[in-house]
Amino acid sequence: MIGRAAQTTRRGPAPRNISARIALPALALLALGAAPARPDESRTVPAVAIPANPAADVGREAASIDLAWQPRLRLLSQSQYVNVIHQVFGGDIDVRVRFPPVPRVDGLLAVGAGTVLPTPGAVDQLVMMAPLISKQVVDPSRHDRIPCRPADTAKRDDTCARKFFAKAGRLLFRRPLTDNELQAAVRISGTAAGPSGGFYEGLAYGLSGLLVSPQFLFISEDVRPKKGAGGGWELDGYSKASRLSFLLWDAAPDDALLLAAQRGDLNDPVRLQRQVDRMISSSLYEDGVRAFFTDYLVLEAFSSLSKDSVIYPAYTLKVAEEAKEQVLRMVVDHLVAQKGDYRDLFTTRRIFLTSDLAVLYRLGVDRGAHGWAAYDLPDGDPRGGLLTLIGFPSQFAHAGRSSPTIRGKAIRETMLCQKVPPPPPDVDFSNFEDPTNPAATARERLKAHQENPACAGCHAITDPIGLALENFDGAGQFRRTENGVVISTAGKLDGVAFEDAVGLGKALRDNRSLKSCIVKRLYAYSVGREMNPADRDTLAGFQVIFERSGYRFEDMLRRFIFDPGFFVAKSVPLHANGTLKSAAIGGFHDQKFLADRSTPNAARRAQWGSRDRVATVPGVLAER
Amino acid sequence: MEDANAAFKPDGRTIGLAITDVRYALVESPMAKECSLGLQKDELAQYKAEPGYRERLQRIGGTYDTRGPNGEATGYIPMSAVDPLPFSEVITPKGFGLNLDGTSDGHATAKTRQHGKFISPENEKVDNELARVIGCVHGYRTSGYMEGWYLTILWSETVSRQLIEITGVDDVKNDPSVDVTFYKGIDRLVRMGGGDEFIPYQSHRIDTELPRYILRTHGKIVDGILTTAPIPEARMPRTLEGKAADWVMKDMGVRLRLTENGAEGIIGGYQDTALWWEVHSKVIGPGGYSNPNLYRALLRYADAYPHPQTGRYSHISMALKIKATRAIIVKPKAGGAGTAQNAVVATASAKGGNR
Amino acid sequence: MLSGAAVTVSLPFLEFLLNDSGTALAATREPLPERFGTWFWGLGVDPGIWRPKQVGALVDLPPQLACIEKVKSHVNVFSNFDVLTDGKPNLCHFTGWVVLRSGTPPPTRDILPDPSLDIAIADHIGGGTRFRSLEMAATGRPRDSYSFQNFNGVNPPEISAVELYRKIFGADFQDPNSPRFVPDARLMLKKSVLSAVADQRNELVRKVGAADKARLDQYYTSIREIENRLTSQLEKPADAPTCRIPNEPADIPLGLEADLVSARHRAMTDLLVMALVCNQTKVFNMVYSDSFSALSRKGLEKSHHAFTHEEPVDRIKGYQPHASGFVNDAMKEWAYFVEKMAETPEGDGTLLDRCLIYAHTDCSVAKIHSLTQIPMMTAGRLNGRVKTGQHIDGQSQTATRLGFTVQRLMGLPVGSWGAGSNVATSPIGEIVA
Repeated sequence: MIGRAAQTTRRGPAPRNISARIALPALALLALGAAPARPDESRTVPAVAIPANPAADVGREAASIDLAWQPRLRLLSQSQYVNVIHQVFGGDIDVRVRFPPVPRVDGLLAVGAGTVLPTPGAVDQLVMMAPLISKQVVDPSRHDRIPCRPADTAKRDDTCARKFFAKAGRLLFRRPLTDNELQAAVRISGTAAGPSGGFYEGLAYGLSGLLVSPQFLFISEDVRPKKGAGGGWELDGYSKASRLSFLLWDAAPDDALLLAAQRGDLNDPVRLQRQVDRMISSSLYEDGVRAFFTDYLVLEAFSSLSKDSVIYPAYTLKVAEEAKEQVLRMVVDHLVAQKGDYRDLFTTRRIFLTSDLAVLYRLGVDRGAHGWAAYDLPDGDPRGGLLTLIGFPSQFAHAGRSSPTIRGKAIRETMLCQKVPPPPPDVDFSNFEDPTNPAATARERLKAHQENPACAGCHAITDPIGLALENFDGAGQFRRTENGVVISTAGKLDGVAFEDAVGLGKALRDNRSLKSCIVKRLYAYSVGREMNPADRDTLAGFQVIFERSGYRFEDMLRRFIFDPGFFVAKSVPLHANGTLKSAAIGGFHDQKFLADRSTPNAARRAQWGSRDRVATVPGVLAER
Repeated sequence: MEDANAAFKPDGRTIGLAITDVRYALVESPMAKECSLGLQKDELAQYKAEPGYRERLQRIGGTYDTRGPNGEATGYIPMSAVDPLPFSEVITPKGFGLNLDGTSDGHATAKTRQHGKFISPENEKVDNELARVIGCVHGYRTSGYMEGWYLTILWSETVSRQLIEITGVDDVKNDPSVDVTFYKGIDRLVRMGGGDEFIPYQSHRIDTELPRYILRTHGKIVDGILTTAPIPEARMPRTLEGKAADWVMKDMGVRLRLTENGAEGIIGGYQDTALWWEVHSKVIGPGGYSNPNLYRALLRYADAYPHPQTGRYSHISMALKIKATRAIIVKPKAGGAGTAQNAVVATASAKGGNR
Repeated sequence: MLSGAAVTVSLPFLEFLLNDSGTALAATREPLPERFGTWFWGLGVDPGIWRPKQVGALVDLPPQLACIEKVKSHVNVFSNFDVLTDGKPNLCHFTGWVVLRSGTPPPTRDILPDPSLDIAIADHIGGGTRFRSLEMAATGRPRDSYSFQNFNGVNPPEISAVELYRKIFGADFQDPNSPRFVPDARLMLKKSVLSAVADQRNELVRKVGAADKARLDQYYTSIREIENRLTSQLEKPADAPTCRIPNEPADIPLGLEADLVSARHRAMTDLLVMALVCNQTKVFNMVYSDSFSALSRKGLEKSHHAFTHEEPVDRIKGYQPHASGFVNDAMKEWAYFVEKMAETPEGDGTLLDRCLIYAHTDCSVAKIHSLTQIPMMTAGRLNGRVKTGQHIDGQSQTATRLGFTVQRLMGLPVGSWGAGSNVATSPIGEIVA
């Protein structure tokens, strides 16, 4: 698949050199026009010429400089932090850090990581964790992992310390340490060696310093002038390495990737491909896929999900954890092992079970308390696809009951990238539970939504698809009836009729928004920033390709990585006093950027309109 | 990694059960009115009732249960002492059990001796002579030492896992012919949050290394109640603090009321008295009895299988009250089992799946 | 009832700083620190059974407040104060607490326009202790925090009593009552580690844009704060005769069932009171339940939040029975919290005597998300500077007046607080002693 690359002419004219006064209203309109449901409708995409060699694209000049983005410091995620520590110091290091809550921006924590503010409370946790890790690293049982032996373990040994920090520091900072950084670590270790009890104890202090450094905790992408005719800027080699490894491995670059970066290999299409091939064939690639889907599908919610133990006794805390793992196993099996199409996640019939999960299915598992077993749902089974695993219906439900509205909203917002407006503040829902109301099923109870004009608009977006999953109770268990009445699950998704949850999965599979959504989210995740109107054509262009070649996950990643815009960035040179050079400002990125400085969100909102565009139903959502 | 054959849909004509509760089937009232003299006097009370016991203790040492003439322990050599206080007899006509000898009055047969029958709640004449031996022993009654001790082991350890599988079920309420198999299992029970109930439909693998626990018989279901033909030689796994304490019975059968999520009822049979005494005296010792009286009662009430030479009865009728939760029993290479809709299960899910 | 305007005139700012009652002095004549805290519960109250009938002294407590009977002399109840949205949408279960914490209504759900007031108070009084502030969420969920710099900067809460214990009383704890004080050499080393990190600030800041620079500055500010804390630990801690190291609490399983949340809340409260008398922090933020409270009860199929919207109002009782039960729970926990503070001895009085606790929720009637008549409470006399035991009728004045009063009482030099219609310029005189 990667033998074909992005087309050459998909990008339309990007606004440049427009004064802010004119640009703002124009862009606001653009933003509204770019409803995600049909990104490819507003612009005719020219026929695509696909070169045989993907590498051909990389060095090629494009208008992409205008689409570039000033890189932001992104806080490592909790899983990245853990993965890096394990990668550098060994998987037996106990890392129990809790990162600050990161805002979800554009549906992704990975994007929010670029705006999260390190409050004292948050930094506190990281500062407290560092010595606990360092202590384990210098533990006598792990001395053989330290690249040298001190002349005398009771004293400082700067030569050995330097060796250690040059090696470990490069892996932690994802680039060689500067002289200052290296000296600081060696100096701290040396000074500490005496009072703390010896060489290794001192080393721990130096290492703690690295672990609380922003250079470690924040992924910082540096830019350099792009070589070649068009000028512009792109990520430097080490930043490219980080972008690749956090995307593909959810971890920092390893030694080989850093070496490649140092040698400039990542600027060379053929050698870049060699690295990407190596990374994708590594077992760490699965971690990368898991990390994306954990973020995209909001799976972190399972760590605090609990069900009513009287109503759903079988949904224990262990089951909640396994429900999350079940989703990830399906994803990894389907997208990595089978190299399947993303869309088919919504119809695939291969699931994975533990014996405790199997209780909710009334199935048997020959694996004891902790093993996993694959199971192919037979034809005619009421389950099929991601939405009918235990995870989705239980995650989006009450503690003791299902919720068609919450589920419908989750499908719209998570899988279709649409925004469902919140209910009006003064609405009264209590007729749902009016004891005189004989409604037995959720469908009957939710009729009230249709009858109330204040509710009807939004609930028409959520309820019909949520009701399709009513055969699954609040714990994800199958049921045919509710209060003795057979549950009716038929409905329509954006004009496509379905009979039940399996049918909904099929309708979703072919829904246009599902496809544009995965492209948008995965690309935003890959480059670690919010999508904006200027990205619209890039995304639309990808989609044209994937429409032909399929939405195979690995292909998508490769398309992104080998896209000429992938590593392109924008430099914002600063004067020594920290003010922006006015000459460098121009075009909308900087306007947005400037706005960020004062009142980040308010100004941004004024410019771009709602960050998640509101789907106004049924018009926009309806397929034509 | 995952194995495509390791998960399976259970055969729709099978009901699996895992036993979650086992206790002696005794008639109990708060004041022990069913006992002629109330609860049995224990070893200490008996010793104290002996004239000059203090002097004896001082003379030969030991403790109150080394009451033999030379300080023999009564648990080991129960005939070495005689209890001064009498044995409290079970006097209620009501009881629990199965009709093991097939008689309605307990008259002697080729393999049983003349004995009393209890009247069961179902108005059947049933055999449970062991209840006469231990029915007034505090340690064997509800809330006695035995109950908490054994149930804790049953719940928290897998060694005593007992599974029952009913196959060939065409109608869960009435089926004239089903097959019933007992297995020893190896998996844990999962308890519901904050209760003494267990989550049904857990997978339970059978212990393939100890086939002696696999017992097969036939049965029938009448109005939701399963009864079985006796299993001539039966062994059920039981471990107490790491020591084997199997139930070893002849002519074992069950009478179980099947429910949506489990079953409850009686397992009955003729327990080997010598083995029973071994476990009682060397493993359990739950207290609330005196061995000289108890042992003599055991010999007295043993009602089946006379020794060809001595004529002594080697087995005693007994009954256990059990509860079980529905289980999916996993046998090796379970994959590819029948895929017919599980009629029994479907009934359960149709109730809304909430419970 | 006094009018707010009159009070402003009669209370010059300096008066707040004076202490002529002498109650703040411990036996050693060292002044005991003052503390500030917030206590949050979600989903309002049932005004019909929560609001005391009489204004003035708290006498006959209504059913939903009956549980605070024992501590009512320490508590003030505020009713009839309003939160105004100023033409911005009423973002359900969000606007209310944002205004009560920061004074400014948010335009959207991902904007917190101003920092929460505990941040400024911690800046003002928080020095000299190990922790600038302690955040706790009895829900056990890492996102339940109402202490924030802005939307991107929320102070993460401790979510487990065991972790909270280890944070406060773990290896780095210095017992103020230990007869011997030897400065821990490791602290000096730890501090030098942080100093070295801070030294490299310029190198990094040079390379980033202005927004990232602001974030890095926040990072370095946080680092400096920890440095300062380490410095303070190098000195012998002030005597704290009533400080007792508590036992490590038992682990409480995850879950939002009300009894689990209560157990977590009480375990955290028990640790907090000792953290305070042991001088580990002066500022705290406790979340009992979150603003969308997902608290549940065994056997009830829905959460508190779902009940508030879907449960019919009992025609005779006049409220939603199940939903109301959750509010009762919250009030019981509040009573526990105050009582625990009130029974913890310190100096010549109790811990509560030197505290001011500001308790509030996100709305008045959760069923309709009303922001008018929003319930609030305080507890503690703050060295005699707060009058307690009263029910104050706000007569539809802006609810930010309490947040403003609280800041003034804590000594912050603020002349007004809040934005637009929510601006408060006069303290609530009734509670100012």
